[in-house]
Amino acid sequence: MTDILETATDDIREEARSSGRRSWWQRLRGDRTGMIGLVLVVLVVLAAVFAPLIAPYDPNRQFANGLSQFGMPRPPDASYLLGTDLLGRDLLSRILFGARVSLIIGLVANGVAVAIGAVVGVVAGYFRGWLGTVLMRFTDVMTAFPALVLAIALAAILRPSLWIVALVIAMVNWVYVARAIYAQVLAIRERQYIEATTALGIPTFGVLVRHILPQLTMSLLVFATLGISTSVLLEASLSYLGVGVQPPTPSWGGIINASQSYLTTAPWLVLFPGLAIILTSVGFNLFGEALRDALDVGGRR
Amino acid sequence: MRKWAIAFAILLASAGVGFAANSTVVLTFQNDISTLDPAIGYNWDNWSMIQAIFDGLMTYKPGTTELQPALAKSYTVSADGLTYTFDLRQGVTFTDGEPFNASDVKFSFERMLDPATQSPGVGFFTGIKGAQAFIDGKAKDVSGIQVLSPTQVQFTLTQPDATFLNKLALNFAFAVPPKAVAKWGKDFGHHPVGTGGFSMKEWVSGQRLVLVKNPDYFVPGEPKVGELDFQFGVDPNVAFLRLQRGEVDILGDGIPSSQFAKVMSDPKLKQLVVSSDQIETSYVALNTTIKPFDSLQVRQALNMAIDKKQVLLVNNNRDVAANQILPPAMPGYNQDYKGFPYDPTKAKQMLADAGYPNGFSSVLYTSNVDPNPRIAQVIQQQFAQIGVKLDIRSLSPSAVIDAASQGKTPMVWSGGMAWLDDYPDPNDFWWPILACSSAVPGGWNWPRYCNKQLDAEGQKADAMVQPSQKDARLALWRDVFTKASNEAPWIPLFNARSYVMHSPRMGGIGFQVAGIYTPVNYKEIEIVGGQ
Amino acid sequence: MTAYVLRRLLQGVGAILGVITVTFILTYIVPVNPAQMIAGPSATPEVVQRISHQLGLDQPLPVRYVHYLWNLVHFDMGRSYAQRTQVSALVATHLPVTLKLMLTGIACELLLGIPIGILSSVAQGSWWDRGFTLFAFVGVSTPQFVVGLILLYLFGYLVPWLPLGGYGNGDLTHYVLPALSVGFAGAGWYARVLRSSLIDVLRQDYVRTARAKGVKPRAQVFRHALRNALLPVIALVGLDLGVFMGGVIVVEQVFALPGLGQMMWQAIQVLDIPVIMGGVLMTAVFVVIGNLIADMIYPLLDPRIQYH
Repeated sequence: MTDILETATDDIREEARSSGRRSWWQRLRGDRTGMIGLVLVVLVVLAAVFAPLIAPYDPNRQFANGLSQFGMPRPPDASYLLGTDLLGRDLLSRILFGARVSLIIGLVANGVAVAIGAVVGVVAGYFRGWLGTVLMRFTDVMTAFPALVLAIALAAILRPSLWIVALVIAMVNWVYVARAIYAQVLAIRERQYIEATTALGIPTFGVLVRHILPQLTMSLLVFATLGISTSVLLEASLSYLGVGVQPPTPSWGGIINASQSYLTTAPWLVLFPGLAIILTSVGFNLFGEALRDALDVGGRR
Repeated sequence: MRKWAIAFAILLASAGVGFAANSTVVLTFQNDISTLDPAIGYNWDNWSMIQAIFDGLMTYKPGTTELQPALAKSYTVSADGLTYTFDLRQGVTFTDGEPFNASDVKFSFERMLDPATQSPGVGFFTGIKGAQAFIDGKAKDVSGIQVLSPTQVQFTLTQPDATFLNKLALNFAFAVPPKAVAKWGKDFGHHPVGTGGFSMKEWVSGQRLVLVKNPDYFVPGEPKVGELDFQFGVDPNVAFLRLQRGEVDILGDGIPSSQFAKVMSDPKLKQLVVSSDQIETSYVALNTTIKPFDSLQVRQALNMAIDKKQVLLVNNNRDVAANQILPPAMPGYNQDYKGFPYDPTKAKQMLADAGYPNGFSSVLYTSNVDPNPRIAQVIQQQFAQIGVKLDIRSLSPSAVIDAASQGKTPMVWSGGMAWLDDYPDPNDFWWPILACSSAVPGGWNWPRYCNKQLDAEGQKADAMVQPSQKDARLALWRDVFTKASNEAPWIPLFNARSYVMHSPRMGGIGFQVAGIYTPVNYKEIEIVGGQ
Repeated sequence: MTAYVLRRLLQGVGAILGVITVTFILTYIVPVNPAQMIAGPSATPEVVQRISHQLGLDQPLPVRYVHYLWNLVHFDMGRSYAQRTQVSALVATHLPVTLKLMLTGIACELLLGIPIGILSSVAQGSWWDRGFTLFAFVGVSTPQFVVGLILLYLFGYLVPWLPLGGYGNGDLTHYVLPALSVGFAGAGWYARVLRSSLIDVLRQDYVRTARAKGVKPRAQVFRHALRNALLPVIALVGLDLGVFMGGVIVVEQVFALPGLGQMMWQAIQVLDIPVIMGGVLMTAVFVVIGNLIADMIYPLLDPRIQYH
């Protein structure tokens, strides 16, 4: 849920303020749920990086003994720890390699989204006027576009590949970053000292870089973490609808898409990739929120 | 016939209502149908519903592929095979009470041919004299369709066509009442009126369609049930569970693949299944105009590289491996032909001989409807073993058809899109999909295969219109298809079998579909047992 | 106030126009000619050409665009290529399903989210609070289709209390699991929003005053604080409609509910552009209305925000 991003900066400040004067790192270390999140994130990253070493089999290999006489996949057993999929491939190997797709898309899509959102938000918020109006009206149009509908339409038109899917997700998600940053920049701009800098004749670029951007760094860092969860979820939904990364590249949503009609006869094909999605997303959410608390964007300066 | 199974694998169900009345048959489909207009409907799901509501001059004897007159009482064919004269049944009325006569036949044909109707069936009837001029707007009517009297109509062709009577049994040639058509205009397909065994009682878009028996139907004893209750939006898995609970009579979408193993290994369930060969071949089209598929040796090598057993397994072992273009259920099938055996070693050698010792890379298009992307992945994996790397493009069926019909696709997996017969005659596997005339932009000749010599042979065969020439004609077609199979424009993978599952109380020859009805002949299914 | 409402309305219309434009450009890029599909396999190129012409597909984009808008002003969304019927007729049959799913879904969000939010704010820091926080995190971290499939397996198949999806006769039992699936994420999220805004409100002066006057704690929460704390939640529901609609589309897919999402999804499969346009348009209208309501409510809750 992208809305997390929008209010990210307001509602937690209060709690963070009470956490005193320790450094952000100490506060982060002390946040138990945040640390659980970090552990999950590290696990997923390790799985993705070392997939070729950990995976018991080639994720694309179709085993002759992986299917029964009428093409039924094998339930989990000693030789296929999480069972096989509808093509007789090892599910565990596919889930491990699927972590790569999720992470790459999560990182790339969210990185692009944060970058676009930050630029649009800062430009619109700082310069206001017609430029700001045009930019924010365009942002409004994009929010009126149901995110998933836009993504489906885009993905159906552009041939879905890893990078296209990442780009589509970025196109949908930057809006929320832009809105939040816009609001923040507006608020910062209202402060006396910015007016003072203008009065002193400090060039615009200098004001942006020296006075506005530093105040946004922490928020952007939080977006960069929390947004990964959103991107991972959106990627899963797109793949589930069949417009995400295309087979045979393993992706978690894609595995569920391919096997949901076997829900009652081979539930493991939905359960395990589903768990992988949830754990990854929970990990980034918990860690991101803890980071937000610890960085306490509004509290210290 | 294209068979879009725009089937989305989803779980769903519908409320557990029992049988409304004993003579009501409950059928389930996942997706609503698009139209019941006989000039337009061309999908596997509405095809036989339209056959239940409308009639043409010709039809098939139930349970067989034998032609017999329907709205016609009798017919004569001239010696040159160019003129067909039909005497019509008298006293037939449309279900809105309007009497049926010869001018309705002419009206129905001209309506179908009129470009404004956008009928996908026009191509079957351009052989009628004056049809092309009418389509092009150069003539006010089709000169080759003459109303001789209210009960007599005559068709004149531009050249002999042994399958003209088959074409008259197609839905596109069915009779529609001018008054109702005028009343509903473009929405006639949602308010159909015909002469058929059933009439439409109710259609709630996306939810249900109810057809009731026409008590005045001209065929004595048909239909055999009082009401057909089609329920839409029911996932095949749910429909299956409900059939076991006795709430559903026929699974419109067939047995879901996740339950297939269970059904086939349970004798009690298995006896509720009627399976039959479809007149269908699923194939990989190799575009003969694109390198390296212009090389016969490469195409033959690829034919030897696929272990069809693995392909069948992924689709529940439902189907039968194919070794040639024509399916076994089609007249003209070559029993003695063996095709290309599975031999990856030899295939690799042949590729090397053709100048591709390290294989090559290509693109395989497939419909994105299950199980086709899976089958494409099996093909991909098997080709990888002889060094051929495939990039799979899994798109919506219409996008694949469009690309393939423009001749832009190196390889196409035809599953879910082609090719199911329109009528049980081998020429339906030639002219629309393998002849030079179909290797044009928009044509369904996806391999862009063009062999003028074989075209000429086919034309010769189709000119043999007399019943006495039937065997010679089939022999000629058999020769055409054997030669074409050897040239390997396709990799034929399997011939589909249909598996219709019904409740214990259902029976009748309507389930013997002979490759004509999908999924059943609604007029000939009956309730044979108690609930 | 009236001027503000009018301006927001105009902006809403502008946003919808923007959505139409963006969608129009997108569908124009589609490299597929739907006329081919309509014409069928045995059609000659001339027939395809003619159908193209009838559909106006051979005209330049601006002409088609103006034509579409003109028809739209006259409440005509065009005809479906594949279904051979008016798009408005299709929307009319699919819209109620989506509306019902939206309403039941939002009801689920609020009926689950509000009590949980209240409980965890009252029992701040307790075991309950932590449990609910975890629930909220899992909620926002789980895609709707996974929730839906798990619910289907549990309550449709293992313990068959509810239908295994589908629409049937359209009664409410068919909406329970879908509504829970779309509402699950929102419930967790709104519980958290409500919790923090309640904690905020409870710290404010007038609540302290009430407490000082001896109002009982439970009554404090409900009578004084809740009213103010609920407003941001309701406003958020309006603002989140865009995201929410995405969930509705996925869940319609999971449960095969014949709503707008299914309609659009099938249209995308056959590139039935008028239907895609109609569906996008309808969802955009919803989102704009939702945002409008949210905009109306926001200034109500914070007097510092002016209608401007």
